[in-house]
Amino acid sequence: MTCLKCNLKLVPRQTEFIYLGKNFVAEIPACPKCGCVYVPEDFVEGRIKEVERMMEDK
Amino acid sequence: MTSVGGIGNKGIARPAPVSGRVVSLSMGEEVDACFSDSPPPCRMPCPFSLDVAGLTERVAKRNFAAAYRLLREQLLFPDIVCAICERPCEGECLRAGIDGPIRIGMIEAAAVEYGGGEPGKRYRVPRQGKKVAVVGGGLAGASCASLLAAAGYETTLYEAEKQIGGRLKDIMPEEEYLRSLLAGLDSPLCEIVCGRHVADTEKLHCYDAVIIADGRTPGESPSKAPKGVFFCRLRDGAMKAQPVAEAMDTVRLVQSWLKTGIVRGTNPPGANNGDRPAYFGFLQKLYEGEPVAERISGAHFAPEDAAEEAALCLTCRCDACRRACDYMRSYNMLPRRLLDNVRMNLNPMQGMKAHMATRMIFSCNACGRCADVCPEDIDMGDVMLLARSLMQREGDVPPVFHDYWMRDMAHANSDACSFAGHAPGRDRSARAFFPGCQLGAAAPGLVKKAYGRLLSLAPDTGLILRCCGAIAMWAGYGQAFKDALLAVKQAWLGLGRPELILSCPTCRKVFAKHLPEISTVSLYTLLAGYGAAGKDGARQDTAANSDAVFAVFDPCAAHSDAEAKGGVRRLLAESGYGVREIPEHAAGNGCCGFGGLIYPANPELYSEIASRRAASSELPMATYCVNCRDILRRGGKQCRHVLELVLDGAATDGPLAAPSLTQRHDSREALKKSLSASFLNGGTEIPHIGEAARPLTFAEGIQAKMDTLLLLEGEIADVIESSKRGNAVLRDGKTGFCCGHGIVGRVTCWVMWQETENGYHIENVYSHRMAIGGVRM
Ligand code: SF4
Ligand code: SF4
Ligand code: SF4
Repeated sequence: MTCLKCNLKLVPRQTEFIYLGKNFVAEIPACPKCGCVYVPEDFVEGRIKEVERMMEDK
Repeated sequence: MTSVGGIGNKGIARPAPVSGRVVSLSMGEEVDACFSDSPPPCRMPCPFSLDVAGLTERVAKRNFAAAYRLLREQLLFPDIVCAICERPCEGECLRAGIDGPIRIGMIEAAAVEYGGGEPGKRYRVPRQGKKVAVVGGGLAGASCASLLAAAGYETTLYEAEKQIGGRLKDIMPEEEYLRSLLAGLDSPLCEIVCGRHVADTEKLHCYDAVIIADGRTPGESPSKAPKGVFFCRLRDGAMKAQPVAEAMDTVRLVQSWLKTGIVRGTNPPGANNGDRPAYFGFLQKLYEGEPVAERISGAHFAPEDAAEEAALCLTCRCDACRRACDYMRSYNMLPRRLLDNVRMNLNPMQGMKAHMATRMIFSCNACGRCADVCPEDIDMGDVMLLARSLMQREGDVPPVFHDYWMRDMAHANSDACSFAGHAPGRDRSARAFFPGCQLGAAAPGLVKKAYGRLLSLAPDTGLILRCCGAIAMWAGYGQAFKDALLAVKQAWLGLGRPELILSCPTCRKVFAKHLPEISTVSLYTLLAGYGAAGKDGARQDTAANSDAVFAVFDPCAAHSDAEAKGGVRRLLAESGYGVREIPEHAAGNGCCGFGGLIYPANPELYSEIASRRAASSELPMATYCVNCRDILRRGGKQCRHVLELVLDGAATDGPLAAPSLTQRHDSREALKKSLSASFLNGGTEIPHIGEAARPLTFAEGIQAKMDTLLLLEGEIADVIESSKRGNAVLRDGKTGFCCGHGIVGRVTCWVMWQETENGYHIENVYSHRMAIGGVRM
């Protein structure tokens, strides 16, 4: 994945997610210059869904 | 590529809802009348009110040791009781009406034979420091002494004869009962004194309490009964095992007196021979359809026989509502337990998870089927809706649950879609057609045709297009619901209080309960009354479809709406269709899955319900809620809206696909446009409804996927445009696809696309509920 604006390849970066007043940190690809992130579909279907559900039930 | 960090708590945890605490206090009343916890009939004549269902459950699992423990706890001397009891329980057994009573006595005997033997565990009980004398060593006295010693009282048992056992010797072999009694009295706290007749209780002044269990009554007592003297006596006609039960009651009294100096209650209460409660009759009916089993004969059970017999016990606990409700079955709970969970959610205790029942509360279809089948009319849907509104008031519900539908409702009530007016060229409305928010979105042509038909039958028929508010009601948004109702009322007042013609069963239910001042009539009943279907070519192809047969799927909201149900059937029959009932449906299970908007909270249950309903009949189905229609269609069922059959005929070639969310959205706007155009022109012609054009094409399956994600085409186009504007587009090196994301309502939506000559080809779409916060660079 490349950032079109900066023309740089995305690299893994610690990224914060927020849901229902709780936060969750994961390493996902982001542009090293502008920080534009990419959340891949398999990560959404796996870990993200799982954490969302957990937070909803907590 | 991705690694996962921990989950933190940002800010303060959500506080417990305060108003929920207050209101939920009275929520218990909702299920007060539920008798699911009331004892089964077999317990009623039993002197011990033995937990027969608990016994059969253990024996059915071949857990004889556990079964024996249960008997010892409840019968004290199971070996003896089992040998002498007349088994009145079997006379009350509800299985009798099916294939004969459960042979409870033989199951008990099997538990004794296969589970007894090893002596029970002796727990070291603290000594009470008090002494009790028991006079009379028969079954009652021995029982008293055994219980008292086990409770930590120093006990002396006086028996006039040479050996304890009393009248037991007349009814069973001595060595058997002696073995049991002596084992039960084997305690360092218990002394047995035989051959000593105690005539005067005064002599026993060194004891803190005295129990007379030798058949004497207070009147025959040598001295007036002084404080601390109790009589354990039997009533006339008592059953043979009654002495043990009386002993249990007497010891309870004595213990309370020794501890508090107060005598609570009286003895002997005896067997509960009161009136037969009404719920027995209901349970009997509930079990009428139980299959007849081949029963084991003989007077003695081998272990497998006992287990097989025990497995036939119906446990006689009302679960009529759960049988009719997919939701209760999926949580495997009855109303009392559901309510306990609701209250726990509303009143979380320290350290408890406050939201563990949230999903459960939002998984009920609010269909009211439970109340229809419950003899006490308990409606768990109402309970869940109340809980929802309390939680919403506290902001205690994931907003994403209902975001799409609330926006959809706002759309239906927006200027772009809502409408209220008299018929073209008229200045009054005797009646007004109110098709609700769904029919016009999913099948705008049907609204047009139905309205055209109504106008041809009665020209003074106005029209109101908007949502009744059911969406907000299901979601628990109390204020939004009130606002929606108010807007309906204003539109109705504006037209001069016409009778409203309703096609949606949910609207009918909402109006009946929340807008009782508005009189309504079911569209189907009205059309059937006009004999409309057969006249003026309503169905041009009657002959071609005269053998078309449909199973009628009643939407859940119509289950207690006899008028609409009858109207639909009459209308279909008048139009030449064969009508069949769906047995499972008639027996309860009703909602298509849409009710209560459970989809976002519990998509698994939603799909399970939808596919079960689609499979509930082999025949093509006819229904009169367009959401039911589309959900059944998505489940692969040939399903038609009654209006399609009546106004179009069965031979419509059109595919039986459900419209996408985008189509629904567009149609709703187009319907308003086309109708108001014709109204403004003063004409009665209703022009064709066009489709909105967007510069989007889709890879296969993506549009269906968008429907499951509750995303509209316009929203996808917006994500692309905003990514481009914000200069936040990525490119996948392998596929060359562009990728961007944006917020849609309450979710973050990702889109992969390729530019085309005049727009975009959408390759993939997905979304998540979590918001993306900061990136650590
Ligand atoms: S079926 Fe079972 S629970 Fe019901 S009355 Fe008979 S023994 Fe009791
Ligand atoms: S139908 Fe359900 S709510 Fe009604 S009495 Fe039976 S178990 Fe209770
Ligand atoms: S309202 Fe419907 S879904 Fe909810 S508990 Fe009752 S029968 Fe089940």
